[in-house]
Amino acid sequence: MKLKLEIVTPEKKVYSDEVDSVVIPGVEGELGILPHHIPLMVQILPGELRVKKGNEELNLATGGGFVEVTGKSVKVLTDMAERAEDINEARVEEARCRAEEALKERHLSAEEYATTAATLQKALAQLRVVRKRRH
Amino acid sequence: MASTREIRRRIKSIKNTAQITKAMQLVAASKMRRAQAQVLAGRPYNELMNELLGSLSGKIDRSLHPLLATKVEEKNRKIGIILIGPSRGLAGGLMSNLIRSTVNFIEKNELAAGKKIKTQYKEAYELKEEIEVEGLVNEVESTSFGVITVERKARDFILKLGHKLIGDFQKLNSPPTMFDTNPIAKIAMESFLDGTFTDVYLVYPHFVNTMTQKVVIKKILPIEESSLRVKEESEDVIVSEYTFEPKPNELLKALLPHFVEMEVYQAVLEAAASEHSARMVAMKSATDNAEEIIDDLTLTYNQVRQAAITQELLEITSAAAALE
Repeated sequence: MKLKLEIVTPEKKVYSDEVDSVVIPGVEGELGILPHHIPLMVQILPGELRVKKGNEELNLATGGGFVEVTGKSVKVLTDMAERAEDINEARVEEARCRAEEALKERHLSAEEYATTAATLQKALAQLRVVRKRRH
Repeated sequence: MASTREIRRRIKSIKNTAQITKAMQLVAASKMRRAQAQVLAGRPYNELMNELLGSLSGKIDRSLHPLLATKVEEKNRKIGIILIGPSRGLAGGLMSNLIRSTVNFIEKNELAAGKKIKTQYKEAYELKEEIEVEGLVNEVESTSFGVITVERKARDFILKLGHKLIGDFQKLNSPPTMFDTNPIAKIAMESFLDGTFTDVYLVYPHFVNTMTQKVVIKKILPIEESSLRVKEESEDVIVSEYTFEPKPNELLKALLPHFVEMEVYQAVLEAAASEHSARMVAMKSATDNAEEIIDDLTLTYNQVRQAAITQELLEITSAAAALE
């Protein structure tokens, strides 16, 4: 018995395959999903999503979003999903600095603040994933 | 028969037109490719989102979130429309199709609500291009429709009809982003929540392929079970009850507005892809027509020229014969 995992973002379908287990960054902590998990509807935060398939392990940095779990499938809807090997560390680091500065210095409207904070969260998630991969 | 000079002038002017339409065709073609790629890339997310809400909506208490609640009976319905049109003209039949569907939709609902149809509608859509706007606002007020328009063409048309304009969005980025579309969704949700509307529909040209665009009228608020596509392979939707994390009302508070935003975003993408495709096709046929006319005129021109030469020769030889 395997889990059917689908990960999509508004830009593309990132991943679609049968896997053994998934760990998702839920709002109330990480959740490990195995086949026959009870039906679940989870909101996720920017963070790390780990996929295990046989001996392979895949790490993705995800943005906020939602996950539906049935006993057989996991569907992930998120605004970002980057594989660890695709992340350009220098660029993300730069984005993080920019976002941090913007949050500190400028007077932002509530909306701008939310967008910038979300960008920062995503950048941090990407950095976490990519640094972990290196160690 | 026209003189050779006249024909030459016409050929030249049509060549100029053909050059312009050809240029527009090329520009539209490159925009079209980008817009089509974007709309196709966005569909899986949208479909999955629909599935997710579809399997969810039957199993939750509808009073948990105001965006789910249907509160009024048929008679007191106040309908809001988000009308997404092309940003410029010269897109073939795209705008007139959109107008026809919108008018039909409005008439059907006014009839259902027991209102008389204003003949003005008919007139308005005969005059589909270049609508004069001034002086028409608020001429008709008894209508229960409110409209949020996207792009100028749609706004002009709605003002001509005399419907209440709730919001008007113009000059979206090309390609459109969530920054453009989220305010549209926000206005729609706010006017739904404060009771301005009891139903909100999206009206936009759905991109089928380069040659075909289909006008779609889709109810987005309140979020209903029937408006969500039922999944075809139903093997894994037999789920009795979900566990929520965080609590259902908190999760819905984040999920439902996001769903509406994504629906609007996808609709705007569909409209953009439709617009560029329709324009590309329209400009291509304009260019083809112009070339055909040029061929015809060139033939006529040569015939006229040859006739004139023959005539002259005839005159010269007959004059020479007369002298001998």
